Amino acid sequence: MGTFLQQLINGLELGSLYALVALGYTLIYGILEMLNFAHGDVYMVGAFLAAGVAALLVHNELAVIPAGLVVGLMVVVAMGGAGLLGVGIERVAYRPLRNANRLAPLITAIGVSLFLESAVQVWVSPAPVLVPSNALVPQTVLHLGGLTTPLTGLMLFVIAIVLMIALDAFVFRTRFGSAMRATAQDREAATFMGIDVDRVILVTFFVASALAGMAGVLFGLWHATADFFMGYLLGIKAFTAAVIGGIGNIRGAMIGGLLLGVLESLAGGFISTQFQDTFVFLALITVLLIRPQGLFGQPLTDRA
Amino acid sequence: MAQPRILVLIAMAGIGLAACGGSTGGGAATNKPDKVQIAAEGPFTGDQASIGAGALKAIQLAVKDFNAAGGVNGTQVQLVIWDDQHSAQVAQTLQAAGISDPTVLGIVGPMNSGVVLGSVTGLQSATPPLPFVSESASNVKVTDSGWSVAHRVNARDDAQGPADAKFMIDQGAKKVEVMDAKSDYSTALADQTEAALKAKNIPTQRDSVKAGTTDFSTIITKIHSFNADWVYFADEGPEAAPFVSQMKQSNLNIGQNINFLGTDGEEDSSIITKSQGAYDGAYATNITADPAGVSGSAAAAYVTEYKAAYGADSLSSAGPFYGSAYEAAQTLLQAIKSSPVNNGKISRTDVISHLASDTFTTIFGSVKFNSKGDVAGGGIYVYQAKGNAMVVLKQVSG
Amino acid sequence: MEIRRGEIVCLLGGNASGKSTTMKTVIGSVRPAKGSVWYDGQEITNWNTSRRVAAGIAIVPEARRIFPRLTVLENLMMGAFIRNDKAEIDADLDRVMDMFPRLKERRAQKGGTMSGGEQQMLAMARALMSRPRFLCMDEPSMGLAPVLVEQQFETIQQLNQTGITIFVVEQNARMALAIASRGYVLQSGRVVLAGTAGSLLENPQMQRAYLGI
Repeated sequence: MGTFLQQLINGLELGSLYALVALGYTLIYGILEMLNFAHGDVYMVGAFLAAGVAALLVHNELAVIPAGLVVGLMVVVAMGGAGLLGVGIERVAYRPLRNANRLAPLITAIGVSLFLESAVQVWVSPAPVLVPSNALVPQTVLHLGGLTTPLTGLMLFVIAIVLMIALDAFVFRTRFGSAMRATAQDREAATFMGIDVDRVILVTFFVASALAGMAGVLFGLWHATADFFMGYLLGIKAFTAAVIGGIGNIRGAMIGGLLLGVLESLAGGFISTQFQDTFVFLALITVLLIRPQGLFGQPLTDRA
Repeated sequence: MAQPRILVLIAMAGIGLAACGGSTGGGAATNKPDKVQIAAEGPFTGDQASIGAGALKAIQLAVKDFNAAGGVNGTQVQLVIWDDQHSAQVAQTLQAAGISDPTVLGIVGPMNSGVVLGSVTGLQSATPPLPFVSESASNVKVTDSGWSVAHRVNARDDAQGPADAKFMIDQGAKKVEVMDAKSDYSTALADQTEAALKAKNIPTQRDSVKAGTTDFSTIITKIHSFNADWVYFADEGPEAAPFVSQMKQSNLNIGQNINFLGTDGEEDSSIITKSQGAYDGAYATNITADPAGVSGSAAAAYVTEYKAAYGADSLSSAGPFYGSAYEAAQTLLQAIKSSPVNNGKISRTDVISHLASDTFTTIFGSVKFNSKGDVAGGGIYVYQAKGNAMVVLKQVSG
Repeated sequence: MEIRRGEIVCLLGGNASGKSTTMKTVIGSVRPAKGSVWYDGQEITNWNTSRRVAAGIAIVPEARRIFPRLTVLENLMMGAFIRNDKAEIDADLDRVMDMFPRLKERRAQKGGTMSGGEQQMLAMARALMSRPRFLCMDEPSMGLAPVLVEQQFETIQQLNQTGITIFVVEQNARMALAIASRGYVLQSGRVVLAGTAGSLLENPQMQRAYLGI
């Protein structure tokens, strides 16, 4: 039982990381009906930006300025940088193709993804780099009964949940959020309302990418590393989470992410890590067979 | 008394010149090949760039040094770079260009066993066959299948697996967590080690991580419940630092309540800093020697040269094969240099026979390939993370 | 083609005659290949849609195009997207809800769950939320029961009486000419007939082609 609960905790922490990235897939898909395949790599770039700030401000395991300030700067630079990167990708790679065949932006997205991975690998580092978390956040391990989690893992989980609630409020409680949803549902009708659709799309990319950047920071503080390939697998998992939750649906992406993390953890813990992904994708197929629109998605007929 | 001696020397020099001129049948010009190319192949980008990038730099350095020493009778060797991205399909496409160009005389690489096994038939069936010298492919099938093109300077899985198992048993291992990273190399090696452990009645638990995995909490929880006293991870490298950091976060302290044995990719001192010290005390075996860890002036000079060429801290991203890659390039280049030149051309067939018969001088000393293409006496070296370096403990065998 | 302040002008024509394209050129989602668009004495050919909406042009699009997964209230607020005068927006909200009491009852319901007639009301109310001076209506009668069509045209007339200039595209020529002061007839993208509603109703060519006489 203890092991089960421990694997559940592991899964929730990993799942909250999936969820943060899955939100980006779902936001962008919701607006443009396109898969931003490069989103996982935006997360990777965010992690590298955070690692870069930390490398500049931490020497010999000691922060040059107060650790809290370093972490704050990491957050600002990673979120801002990833956000601007997302906006740039949209502007350069996707906007010119907005009215093209649906396959065209997907292929461009794969190209952007490969470009980002290669760029970081060649210009930054082919090997994993260190995020000096020892100097930045307390390395406390929390114990509850027989269960343990590093403080940074709990931090990841809590901040991810807070961000998701904030995003949910932004999309469902603000005027701009309504405009985003209106654009997602009927782009031309949204322009009839005087909504500047290009701006809505840019803001969507910024928000989605900034969240991925934040996921990169949280990951760095949790596991103290960043490498150029880290966005690939995570991107696929996050995308899977978004599909399980119902792509385009924000709450679906959150639940889908947490669910996928837990599923993976339990499958690895109690069945086999060698076939872990097999079970995860089996779950995806099962969900899609029973509910093709995902757990929280709109029934497909509704889209007509 | 001194005069006659000088006369004798001059006379000998004259004979030498005459003999030299005679064997080439008229002037040095025909002895000079028109064009000589070799290829460097490996995962220079992609998921395994962490092992490929440093190896490529080593090969580039080897070619540069060889050319500076005169090349092949005055002809500069050109290096073509084949980035197979750890994919046999990509490798086949790249190799096709070399197969059809008779001035491409050999390959340093491929680095991954899976790539070799997926592309070797094309190299073998070419006319003439295109030889390769790998610096890191360790799967036994690479040289056990009778291909005359196949050579490697590194040791084999069937040497490493049993040696790794024996090392852990000698250190008192009771229960071992065996992990692989889901690649041809890593799974085969983990299988070998696990089998050797089981043969000695050591209980094992087996887990796999996929390339690019960054969260290991599931496996770490399993290590706790299994009560393992050793963790064995056959891996090319990139996963090690986050993995051991997470072990430490979860109260598995290497050298205190758990021991860690990694393989080639984990024989890398940068893991110590990248894990913020969590890796300190861990062991790793390597199928090649680390020039920075062995004695010998040639190896030491090479380390100095590598740092001078690529920066003082370049060893931290050089990967585990920057020594063997240089070594492999040296053997191939020397075999080419020894091959006869006819009408400005060198035949790959001759390069293959020289690879088979010659003894080569490398940064690790003399090297000779046996009839399969393996290095006679290719050793397994155990290293330990101490302070901020990987220190050679000893050479081991199964 | 010209529409004067306070008028109801209708644009008639068969399928694919270019009626909807004309309307989209007015609102700005289609740029004309040739020619220009003028509004209130200014050339607006190169204005984007949001600038036109802010200047008082609004559209009730063909097939209503309400936002199906936004609530009625959210749909209405989208109509007022370009406005920032919160108090006035609330007042207008009350006003359109008085005008269409069904919308008040269903304010929290998702737009897509309402009937065709209710959606048409919502589309019209949404357009009104931008306080238009010039309202374009694309096929307001499409897909509605005859009794609802009648109501619809009554509403259009009422709006016109409050001072809103109305431009209506219709297949139902008889209905449109009944409320319009003038009309244009399009065929393959060209104006083939123009005149007062009365003259068009009398025109024999018109009678044959569009009025079924």
